[in-house]
Amino acid sequence: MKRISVVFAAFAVCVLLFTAARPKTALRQVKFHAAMDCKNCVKKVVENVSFEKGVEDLKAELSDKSVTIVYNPAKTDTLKLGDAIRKLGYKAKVVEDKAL
Amino acid sequence: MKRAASIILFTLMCAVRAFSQEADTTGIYGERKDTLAATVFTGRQSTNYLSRGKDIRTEVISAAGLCKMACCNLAESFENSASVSVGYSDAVTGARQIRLLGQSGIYTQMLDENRPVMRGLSAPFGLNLVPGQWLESIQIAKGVTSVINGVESMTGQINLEHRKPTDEKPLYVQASAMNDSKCDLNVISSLQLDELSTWSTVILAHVDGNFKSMDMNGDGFMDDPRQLQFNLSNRWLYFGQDGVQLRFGVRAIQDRRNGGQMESLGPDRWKADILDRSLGGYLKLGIPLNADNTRNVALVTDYTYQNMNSKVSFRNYDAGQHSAFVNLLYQDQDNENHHFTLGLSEMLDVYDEAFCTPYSRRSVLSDTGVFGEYTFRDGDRFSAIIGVRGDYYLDGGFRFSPRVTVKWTPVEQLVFRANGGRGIRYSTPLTDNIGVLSTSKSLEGDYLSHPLEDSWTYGANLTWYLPCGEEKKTYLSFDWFSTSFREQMLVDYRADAIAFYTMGEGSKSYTNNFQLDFSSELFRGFTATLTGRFTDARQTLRWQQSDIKPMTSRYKAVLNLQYAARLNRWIFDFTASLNGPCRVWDFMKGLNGMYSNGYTPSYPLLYAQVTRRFKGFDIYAGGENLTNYRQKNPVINASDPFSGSFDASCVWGPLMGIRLYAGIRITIWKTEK
Repeated sequence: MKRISVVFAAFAVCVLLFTAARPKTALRQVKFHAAMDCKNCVKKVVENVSFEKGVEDLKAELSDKSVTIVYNPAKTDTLKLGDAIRKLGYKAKVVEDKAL
Repeated sequence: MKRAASIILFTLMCAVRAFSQEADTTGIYGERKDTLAATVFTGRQSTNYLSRGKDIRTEVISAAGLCKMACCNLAESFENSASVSVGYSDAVTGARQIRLLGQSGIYTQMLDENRPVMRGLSAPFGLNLVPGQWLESIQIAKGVTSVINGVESMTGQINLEHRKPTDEKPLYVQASAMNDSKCDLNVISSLQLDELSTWSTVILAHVDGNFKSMDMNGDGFMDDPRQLQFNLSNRWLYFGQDGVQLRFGVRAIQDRRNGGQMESLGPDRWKADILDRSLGGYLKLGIPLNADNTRNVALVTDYTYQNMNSKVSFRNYDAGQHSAFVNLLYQDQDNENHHFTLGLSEMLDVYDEAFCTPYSRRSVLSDTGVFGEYTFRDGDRFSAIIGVRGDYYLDGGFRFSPRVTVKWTPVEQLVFRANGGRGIRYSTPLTDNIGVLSTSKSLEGDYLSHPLEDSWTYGANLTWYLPCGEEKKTYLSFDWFSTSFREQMLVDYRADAIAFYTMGEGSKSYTNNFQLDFSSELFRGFTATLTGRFTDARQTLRWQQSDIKPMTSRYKAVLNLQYAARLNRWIFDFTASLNGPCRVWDFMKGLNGMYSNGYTPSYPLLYAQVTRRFKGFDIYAGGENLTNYRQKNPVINASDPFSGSFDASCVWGPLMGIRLYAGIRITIWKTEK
């Protein structure tokens, strides 16, 4: 029982630490129109672009072929993010870029 | 063995160096076709969930779910599930068996992308021979399922979806190592051979081994056998512009395991040496008969040769099995409401078995079937599937098997399902109860015969989707299933012998199974799943005083917590389970001062894992059985293994204590379209 409590407590601490962590810089949100045509394309974009430097959040939708990215402007910009999508083989065009 | 370990380590290091520059990581690819959420991805994917769209109550373990634990092979992939219990067949060979609805896994039909697999000789070690990292998802359907693949599914069906040739991942490498010297390496390559992906292929390679003997409980027996497995598969897909689909593939496996007493006890020690080899291939062809593909014909064929050479102490069991399966289907859909399937099938198994003799005995088991299935569907609100099947069993005669499935969604938040029908299979007594080889007891009865087993299963499920939690994915589900046998091969353990016999007049064998599931994403990234199962299993056995089925756990509860930080860069998994007691065989009562009340103790298990994801690769580390709970004295009369009362088959709990592991997953994505 003691071991279970220790592992559970460690799990709870990790959750608290990570939910509390937030970047200090003002973030921006960019929406791309990307030429994705299947679910695998969407997954491919998510699995790759999520790990680009400065990306704070990402959502991709097949219905309107959009990729919405929350990013840290001190670390990246829309050009680099667009290139990251294009590198995967999809045309990408900025639809909207705004401060959050 | 040392050399093999060095090769694995060297390959792992090379792989890390060569591929750490390129993308992906998880291979998180379980496609949810049942909700609109299927088109939206935010980097998180449900790991274990009940499928909302399936007609039959189906639990899905996605690729993400398979990454929650070490999951080196299929046997280790069900730890998060209360529906399926996995245990050792015995304390020496490392063979694993599952239980679904309180019945042995032999009554659950295993499918590899809807082809029956793991039958007969391949059943005892089959779960160990499917690498977890080869799988994209596992679907566990409870109760009787479609008649299309035969009626061997008595308590349910487990379908394995492998990684696809169409995955845009030219290379995926996974390697892991455990503190007990168990190592695991998988290399998978999906290649699209032309721009339109008309032809694509996936090559899957696996090697794993357990290189060190350990005896943690000091009984002189290895806790886990030394083992080395090679597994190679190549699958092809042709997707024509005219809608024709052709899938074919080959697979070869070799698995060698050496268990028994520790090597330090000398050459005359009690040994269990098993060599398992198999070679197989399959072909699936689908041809549309009209432009919108509402009418089509399909051919599914499969052939496997399985060979097992086992020498357990003074007993040898050398067997070969040719297994062939052919299914010819015609499907027609009048409109969105009515759908028909008609078909013919043949399942042929030829066994050559030699048990305690150099001479083999040949058995031919044949099941020729004709079937039809009608589906009525009223949008998402109601569906009914009625399937009938007539099979002619060689030496068993003609049997008629009806099956019915109903799904009703009265309101959006509520789904009701019910199904029922008949299940029939040939028994293969020795391989169905491979643990009997790990005893020195005499075997009684006709254990080399293959009588038919016949059962009826009914069940219902109610799932309530609650409008709370993140992304409204919360649900509460309750299900009840009952399986009752009319004919069954029974195995009865005594102190000095093991008896095999079929059900007699007035005897009974049934299980009632109740399960409650709750799952919710309480806040973004944090998912909690709580499951509880209660089983009442009864069986009339000649040599037992009670009709409560021995060695069947009464209950199991599982709590799984997962937290995935934003973009899944960190993932924390925590799984705790409580495994209920099971009644022991009568001869075990009071043995070595244990089981005085006739039951095993209940015990907790704990698993934890942390995963860190980077661009191009993941690293993970975790621990299994962190409570360090082990079954005491799993080998009966371990000090005198050559005596007639030696028995290593009465296993109900973990044999290994705490195990720590670490691993890496690397994926290269295709970057051009």
